[in-house]
Amino acid sequence: MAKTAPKSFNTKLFPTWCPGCGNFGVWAALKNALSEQELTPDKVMLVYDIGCSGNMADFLSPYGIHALHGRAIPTAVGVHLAHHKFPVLAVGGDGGIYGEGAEHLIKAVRANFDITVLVHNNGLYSLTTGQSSPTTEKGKKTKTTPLGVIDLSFEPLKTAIMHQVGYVARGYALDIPQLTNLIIEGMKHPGFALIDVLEPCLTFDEEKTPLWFKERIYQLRDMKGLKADEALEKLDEGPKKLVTGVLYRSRRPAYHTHLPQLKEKTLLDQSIDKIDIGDIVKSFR
Amino acid sequence: MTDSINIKIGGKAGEGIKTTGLILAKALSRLGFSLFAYDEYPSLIKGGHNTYQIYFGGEEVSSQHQKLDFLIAFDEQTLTLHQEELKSGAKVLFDPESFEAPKMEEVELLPIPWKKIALENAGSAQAFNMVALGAVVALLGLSANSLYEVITDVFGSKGEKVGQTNRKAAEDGASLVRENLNNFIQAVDLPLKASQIVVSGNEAIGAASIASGMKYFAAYPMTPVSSLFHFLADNAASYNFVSHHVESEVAAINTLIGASVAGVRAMTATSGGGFSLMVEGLGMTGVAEIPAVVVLGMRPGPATGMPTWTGQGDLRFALHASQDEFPRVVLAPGNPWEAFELTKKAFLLAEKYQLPVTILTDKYLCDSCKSGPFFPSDHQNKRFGFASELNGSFQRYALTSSGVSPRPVLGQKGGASLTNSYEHDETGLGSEESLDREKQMGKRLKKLVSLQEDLWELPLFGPPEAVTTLVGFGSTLGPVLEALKELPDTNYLHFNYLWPFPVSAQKHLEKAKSLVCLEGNAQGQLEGLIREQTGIKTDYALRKYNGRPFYPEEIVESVKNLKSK
Repeated sequence: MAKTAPKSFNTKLFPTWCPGCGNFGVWAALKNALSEQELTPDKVMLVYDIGCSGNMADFLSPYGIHALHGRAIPTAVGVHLAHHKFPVLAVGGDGGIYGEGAEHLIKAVRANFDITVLVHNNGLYSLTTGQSSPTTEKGKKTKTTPLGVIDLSFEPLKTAIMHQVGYVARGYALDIPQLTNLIIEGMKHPGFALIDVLEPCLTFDEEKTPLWFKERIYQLRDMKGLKADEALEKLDEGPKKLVTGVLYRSRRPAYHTHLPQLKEKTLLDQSIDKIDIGDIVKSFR
Repeated sequence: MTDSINIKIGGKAGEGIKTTGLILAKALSRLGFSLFAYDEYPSLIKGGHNTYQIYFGGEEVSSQHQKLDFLIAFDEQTLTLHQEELKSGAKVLFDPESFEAPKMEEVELLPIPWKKIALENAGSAQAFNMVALGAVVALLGLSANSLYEVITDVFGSKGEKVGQTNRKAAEDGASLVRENLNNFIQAVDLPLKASQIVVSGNEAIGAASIASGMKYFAAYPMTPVSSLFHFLADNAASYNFVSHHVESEVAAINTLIGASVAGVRAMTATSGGGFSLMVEGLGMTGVAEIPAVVVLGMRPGPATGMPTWTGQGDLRFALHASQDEFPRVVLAPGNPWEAFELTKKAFLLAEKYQLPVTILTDKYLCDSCKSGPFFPSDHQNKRFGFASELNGSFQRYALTSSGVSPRPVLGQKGGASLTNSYEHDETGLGSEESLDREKQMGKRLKKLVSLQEDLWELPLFGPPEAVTTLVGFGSTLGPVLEALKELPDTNYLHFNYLWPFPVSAQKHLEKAKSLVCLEGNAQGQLEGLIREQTGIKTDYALRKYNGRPFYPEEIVESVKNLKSK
């Protein structure tokens, strides 16, 4: 089967992101990854959060749901359980996935749902003009934290590794070839795939410029993933050194493989034309 | 001989009051009696005071009553708390080894050392409640065979020995009465009734959701819908659907959204607190036109409120939950049989009109059991609203005369499109254009008109012409039907759905000579809704908001007092 050209995933609308925004890189890598896997718009579901990242909903043509803020993961989980043979990605930012919807991330890493979550992580709420997010570094001054952020930043990748999810990776928005591969590998891996994408915000973050990232980022070439403790050590190198690549993989069986009712058919494939509840009715005697 | 018998079993939480009560209810049902079983319990695991009450008779019964013929007191507190409810000549069964009963006039105190009997004869003191049941059945002059059969069904799954022990305990209770308390046996007439079932509102909703082809159920446990959740979890693997215990009610409604968009029928269930968390998601099902069935089992609120008690205080909340405006349906079944029918209807309406349907119940309906005919076993489900062959540019939110736009099944060729929580244009892409907003809002609200063809006339119980017309919704039906037995020249307009406001209500309300609105809240939410929608002011109000359901006696008394004014 021929690959669909990446541009055929475009819609009639052109992105509204700021010129030079890292989201363009994630957008391009995602389209490349779909194309490389010979997927067409009818063969993949993308669920979007709210934010600059989620606005990608209007710029991609596959099956999609523009979900509520923070709720891309549970929405994607619902799609996945209804049709567990269909590729499902959730696309969001550090605000929605790591903040408002953190409860869902925790459940998802525990359950190891077979979905891929792509997080645009720029350490800020940018659509609402640059307030602090769960991954803003301690001490940083933002509009809502004029005295500096008091909280320690959240460690989503460590959380995922410690719960032995299927696949944990970190990419960089401006390295499209690497990010393309990370997305392809994440989608192929059975189990939950968390891909954190480091991203500069040119409009609201004067400190973490592309140059700042360039001086710190390095790549793991091996796509097999590290042992959990090695991966955790690599993550501790930040912010002086920022590791990217596949950090961790496990073969823990995905959630749906434990459900006998999903062994043969997807829920969507099961006919509901005729249903006999005779045994239930008898049990009410 | 009496027409009906009222039995209450009381004791501490954790003593198996509910299991004991349900076994007796099923045994009576298998004998052919019509019955209603109502339980009360605090939000505790051990201790506290639990009761289970069974009202039964040869004629159709539909609610609990106040005055008791039998009180089975597993502890002293039961006697203290409920002695005022005893009829003259009522029988009180108690264990003389657990407490000394005070002298009581016009009441027959029947000491039965059930713990000792259970331990010495059956081999387990835990089976004491079965001794009590054997005794009650014997005192009613009934064959204990049905009781033994139910005991075997209930305990048999826990091993043969458990079944035998409990059966032996019941046999000993029955023998003790026949040998030592023979004078107190007052035989009741056996009715001639067809085979029936005993079922709660939650079980009815659960069975109907499976019959409707629900494939995805997500919930977070919350009284009073937890038993629905347990029922569905137990049946998921055998009926090929997923019952998902999710991290929160927020996750419940949002996973439901995902599953429903993919194309399967989906449901969630909660109470007021959880529904509060679902509100944003409910709005999304409205704007994004996603079929959703939401069971809202009311309990007194706000906030944590009174978790294990009943009320009807969420009517307005169910009608208005979430920002702005969108079409929705709110159904209010009155008993388990109506809950079964309306749950099937809920799935049909949700899918056909692509909107949220709330099934508004309450703790009273969720947990109370009633006997009645078997539910149908075989069900056929027609699907609605899916796009057939798609060629060319598909528009998810195309403007149509009915307001319903065909939707794709996930993966359908040519159906790729965006389901959007933002306002959108016909393709589904986000739009803030004023014209798109007007077109899409107009399209959505059209569904309130087009779905009228699938709605129905409100049922009117009692004589078509009456001096007094009672009005209420949902579970109030049961106590009112009991009250109508004592109220000549009175009928009842039963709102078994509340939104869209039933068109047929107007003609009944206009015809009524004197209107009494009964509801389980303090501010008259139904009364206000009726006035808002019809301009009709009901004449009298009977409101109750203390966590307890209406009793037929208080309805009768109130209506009679109105007439004497």
